[in-house]
Amino acid sequence: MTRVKPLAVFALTVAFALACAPGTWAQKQKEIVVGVIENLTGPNAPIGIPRQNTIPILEERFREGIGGYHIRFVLLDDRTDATVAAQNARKLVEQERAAVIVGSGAVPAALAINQVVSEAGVPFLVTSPALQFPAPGTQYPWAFQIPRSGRDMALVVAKDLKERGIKRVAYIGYNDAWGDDWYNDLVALSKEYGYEVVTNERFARADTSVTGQVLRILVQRPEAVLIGATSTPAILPHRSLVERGYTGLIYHTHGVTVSAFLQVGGKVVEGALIPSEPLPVAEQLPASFPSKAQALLYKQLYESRYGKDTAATFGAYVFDVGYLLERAIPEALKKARPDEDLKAFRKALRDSLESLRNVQGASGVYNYSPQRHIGLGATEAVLITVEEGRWKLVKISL
Amino acid sequence: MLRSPFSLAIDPTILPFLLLDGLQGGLVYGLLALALVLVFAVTRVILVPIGELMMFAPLSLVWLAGGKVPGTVFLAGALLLLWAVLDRGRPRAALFLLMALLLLIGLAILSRGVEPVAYPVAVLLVLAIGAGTYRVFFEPMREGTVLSHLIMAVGLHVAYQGLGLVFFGPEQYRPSALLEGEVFPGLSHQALLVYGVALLAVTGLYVFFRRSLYGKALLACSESRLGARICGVRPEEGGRVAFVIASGVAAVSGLLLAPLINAAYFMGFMLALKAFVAAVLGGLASYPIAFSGALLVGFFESFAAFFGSAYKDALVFLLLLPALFYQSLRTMAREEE
Repeated sequence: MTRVKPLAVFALTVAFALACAPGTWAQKQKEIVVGVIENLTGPNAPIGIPRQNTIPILEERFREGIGGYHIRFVLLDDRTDATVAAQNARKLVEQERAAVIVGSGAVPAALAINQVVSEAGVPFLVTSPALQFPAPGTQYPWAFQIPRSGRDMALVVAKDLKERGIKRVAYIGYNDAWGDDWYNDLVALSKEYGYEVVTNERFARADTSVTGQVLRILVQRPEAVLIGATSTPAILPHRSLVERGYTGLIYHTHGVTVSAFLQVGGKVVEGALIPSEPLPVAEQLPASFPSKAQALLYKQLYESRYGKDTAATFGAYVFDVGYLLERAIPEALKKARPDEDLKAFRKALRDSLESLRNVQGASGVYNYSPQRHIGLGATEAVLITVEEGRWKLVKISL
Repeated sequence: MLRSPFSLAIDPTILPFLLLDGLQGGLVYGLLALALVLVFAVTRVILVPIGELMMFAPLSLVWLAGGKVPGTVFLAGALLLLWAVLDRGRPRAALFLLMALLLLIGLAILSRGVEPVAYPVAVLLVLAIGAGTYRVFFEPMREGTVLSHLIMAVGLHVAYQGLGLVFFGPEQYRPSALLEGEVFPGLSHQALLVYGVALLAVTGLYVFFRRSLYGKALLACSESRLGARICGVRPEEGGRVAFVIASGVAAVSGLLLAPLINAAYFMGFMLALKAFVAAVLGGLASYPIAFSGALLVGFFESFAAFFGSAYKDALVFLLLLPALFYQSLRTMAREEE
């Protein structure tokens, strides 16, 4: 018996190695690792899940690899927690030898990742508006933001207010960063666009009544109300306003462009005005609209996997990572090879991301430069409304 | 930005709306507070997951009405199964539990898409989860301290909330109202129904405890468990009945309220916490004080939302301080039982 054992072990090892060899050996040497950190659990999970679902679509897209390199995606969950996000970033940078990091839907988590990647020198595609304002290249040298800044979305609302000649705007929003940012942006744009913000009411996602806040808004007799909330919790203030007899305009933020808002809101949210990415109204856009084809493609790819009306703008940001890498990686490969000198390749990838111009994605046209690390501008953001339970295009700002 | 709370005088037309809003909130907190006091008196458990039980009912209803089997069926089934395993020494009881389990699953499958039947099924599901929770998690540790009960309760709250996310997803849902329309703007028929049922529940509980033998036995359990046992009352059974009543109250109020407030997996905790504030105002012992404390919390919340919405929840929890201060003055330090 004792003599057979080593033989058996040897045979098994050889068999195992043979079974694995063709795939892994080749890939181990020639692969580019894309590390993704998203909020798959925790309070931000509704944003993280569509992104998780988008990864297989990207894998499918890169099945052929780029320039002879296999593209491998590694997805980690940060539990909507900045500490976990930083740990995961370190893991991806050191153990997985990621060439680029993509992440996270929560701003604090994204900033924590930024800390790690700027020390290690790894390009970072930020999927939340963490850089907020055009960041000088020195401040976030390795980070490139994908979503529009909140200010650009607020601009869509401000322009519409001006066009309608509205002077008195009431505000009610979350008592958190989302609510604060929207209030600040709305106030910052008020002078230029000639309106006055008359209330700053707050509520929590778990609140069961906002009657007090709504009454206070009604006392101010506003011509329009902006609700700084997301998804289904944004319905409660809307409903309360309608039930208390408010008949003016109601604006929402781009955080409500998910199908659950339509299903739960029903008749109540008809006529709501919403600044949005092009995705929800992709079919209605004119053929000349720059990102129409990409938005339609994402919608079709996502919904063929996960069902009708499931595609959300949150996931489209991760889809656009594909367009950016598709352009940036071949450029970087001209300068350095990830299997020979990973450090140099990361630097080369950063440089080529920074020089990307005119990349059409599902959310708009991306333009990066050493001065501007936020790819999208206020153009291609659209104003939409709810009509008969569907999203309806109102206006293109372009 | 801080505003002066007195920058805006209350308009006389606003006052009734604020009062009605406060009354609606207060009655819900009141029902939950009564359930909390009852459970604590009989079993020394602070039932933190009562908010989750409350939310399970309307969410299960939405799932059943939409033709789907809600995850709560599996939770209830698992708890009943564990219960049957624990009671395997008594074959008849175990068999009964297995029958109940099959009946529940059958009802859930049959009631899919039939809204009138889905209502009682949703209540039954929550009752099974409530009773099963007591039998499986709390009865084995019934001689434990208040603190160990509390730790278990908090753990269950976290677990049930997580299960709620798995079962029902992150979004809010709104079942259609039983009664549509409004009596006058600001007071819907559904709200009137909530007031009516709350009143009925309070008087029902009063009659139950004062007039029925079962209720008296429960009261006896809560006075002194040893004494009750000597008189032939089984405290374990008292615990089960208390949990069933509490989860019934939670389920019914959750079902009636959901059309007014929307329901989501994460919303139970805040409701339970505010009911807990009310229950603490009554020292976790007095039903009338807990109920009026809950009304106070409701009105206070409604006015706080009007005057300083950013600080609303902080202001409500501030109510705890004088109550705790009073309790600490009134009761001399006593040893943990």
